[in-house]
Amino acid sequence: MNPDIQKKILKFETFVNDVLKEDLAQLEQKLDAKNADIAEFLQLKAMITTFKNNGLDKSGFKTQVDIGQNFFIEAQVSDASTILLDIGLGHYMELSIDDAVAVINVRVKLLEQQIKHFRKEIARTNAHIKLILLGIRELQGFDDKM
Amino acid sequence: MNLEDDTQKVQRVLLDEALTKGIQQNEQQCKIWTDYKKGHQKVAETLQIFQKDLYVNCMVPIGKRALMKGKLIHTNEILACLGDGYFAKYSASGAAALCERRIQRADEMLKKLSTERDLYETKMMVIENNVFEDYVGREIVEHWNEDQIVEWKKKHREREREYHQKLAKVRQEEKKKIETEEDLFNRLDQLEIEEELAEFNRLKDEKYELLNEDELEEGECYYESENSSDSEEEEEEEEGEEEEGGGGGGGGKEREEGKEKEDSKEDNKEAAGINQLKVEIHKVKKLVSFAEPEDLLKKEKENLIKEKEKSSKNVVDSEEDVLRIEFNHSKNKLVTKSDGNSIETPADIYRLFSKPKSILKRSPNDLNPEQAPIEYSTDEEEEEEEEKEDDDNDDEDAVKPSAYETVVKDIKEKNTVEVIKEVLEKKQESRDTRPISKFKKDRQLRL
Repeated sequence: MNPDIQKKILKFETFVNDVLKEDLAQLEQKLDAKNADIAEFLQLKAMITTFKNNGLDKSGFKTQVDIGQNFFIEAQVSDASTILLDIGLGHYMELSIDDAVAVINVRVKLLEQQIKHFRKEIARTNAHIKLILLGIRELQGFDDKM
Repeated sequence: MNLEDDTQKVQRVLLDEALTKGIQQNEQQCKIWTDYKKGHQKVAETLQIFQKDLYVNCMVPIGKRALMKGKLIHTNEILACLGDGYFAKYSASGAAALCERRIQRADEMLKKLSTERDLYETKMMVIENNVFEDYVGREIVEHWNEDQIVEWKKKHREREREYHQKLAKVRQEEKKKIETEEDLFNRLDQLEIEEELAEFNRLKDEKYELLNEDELEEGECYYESENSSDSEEEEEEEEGEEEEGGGGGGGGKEREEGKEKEDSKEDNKEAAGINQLKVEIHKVKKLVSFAEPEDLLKKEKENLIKEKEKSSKNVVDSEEDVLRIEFNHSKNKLVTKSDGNSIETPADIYRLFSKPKSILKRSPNDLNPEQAPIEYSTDEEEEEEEEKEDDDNDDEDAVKPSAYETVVKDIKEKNTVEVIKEVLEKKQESRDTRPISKFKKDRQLRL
């Protein structure tokens, strides 16, 4: 076999393994994170709706708070009409419950868009990997029909 | 050789990898446990703080992304997770104690992890310093091929055949030897002569003077010595008893006067008897000699006959010499306690003689004359008898072990028949009542 071709094959292979597959792994991680975020927001939204439905936002409620290492202390929330929402970069904003739901909806939409984007990216890298593998096969002289 | 080197290299690399992996795991575990410890320390601190207030203002987390204004109430009631979804309600101090325990456990784990790390590191050091590089021993490899094996097998078969032929020859010769009766008798005579020679030599070696040489045969020396000593002691004892009887009949005053004399006499006798016993015992030695099976059988028969005769004699003797014990109470003061080896009360006898028995069989050679009688006193009846006997002897300050021995021995000889009967009865009982399991018994009792 031609040494040039062999060198080329080697280059392609390293590219696939070191660059494309790494990218793929990173993208998948990001996708997972976004999915987790969206799940949290949805959960929060569900919680707020239950507050509203049961009239807890006015009467207040009791809950157990984790103070670390699964030690719980009872906590009382007397006024559940406002909620502090994480708006990113460690900042919290006090919102009424209705506003909070609106904000959450917006955030969820944003996240869904991001997820779509990441899915596309992942598909693209997968396609690149496939293409390069095909190229390597052609260089090695195997039949395309296989 | 190249291959071996390669395998060694691979092994080295594998070992290295395993060790590094171990160290990594160790580090991870270390991190986990330190986090665990720190977390619990923090919880303990916060518990201390919360305990002081009735309620604490705080932000209550709603999910991960949102908080609500609220306050912690019931700060002395803490729900602690015990794991696997189980919770326990603790007071603040209880929860703090729990934290302390967990911290201790974490400390122990960290200690163990550090020792593990040390081990790994020392191993790494050993490998890095190539301690096993300059070893001397190599694997022993023997090369062979099919042809060599076939050849060896052929040779081996030939040798085996030769060996078997030789063996057959030897056997045939042996058979020829004892074909006729004359040969057989010749052989037997020869064996007898050998046997007698061996016997003669042994006797010469022993220089056995006290006992009759004719009677001394293998395996019998032991019995002979015992019997002779027994009979001597018996006689002696009888004399002593007679004296006692006379003294007792005479009355208290005479008794007191003659008492010291008697004592001294008896002591002397006793000492003499013991000495004799010792001498005899030391002279008798156990011997093992090997004889042809036929001769052995003959001898055994002879022995049996002799023993029977002796035992019958003994029985007759003992029946004739029935001991009659008469006694009067002396006017001596009661002695409640005594020290040392002197025997003044029955309690002393118990103290001195009934020592824990060893389960090992005693050889006659190391038989201690003072302790000898204990071996024979096993039944409670005998002990009672002892005590009676002791009451008599109580008057005389000292008890003769020899007297004790003969009395007890007499009892034993008489009791043999009864003992056998008892044993038989016991056996029958055991046959009648089948062994029942523990649980079955329990059930029966309950019913």
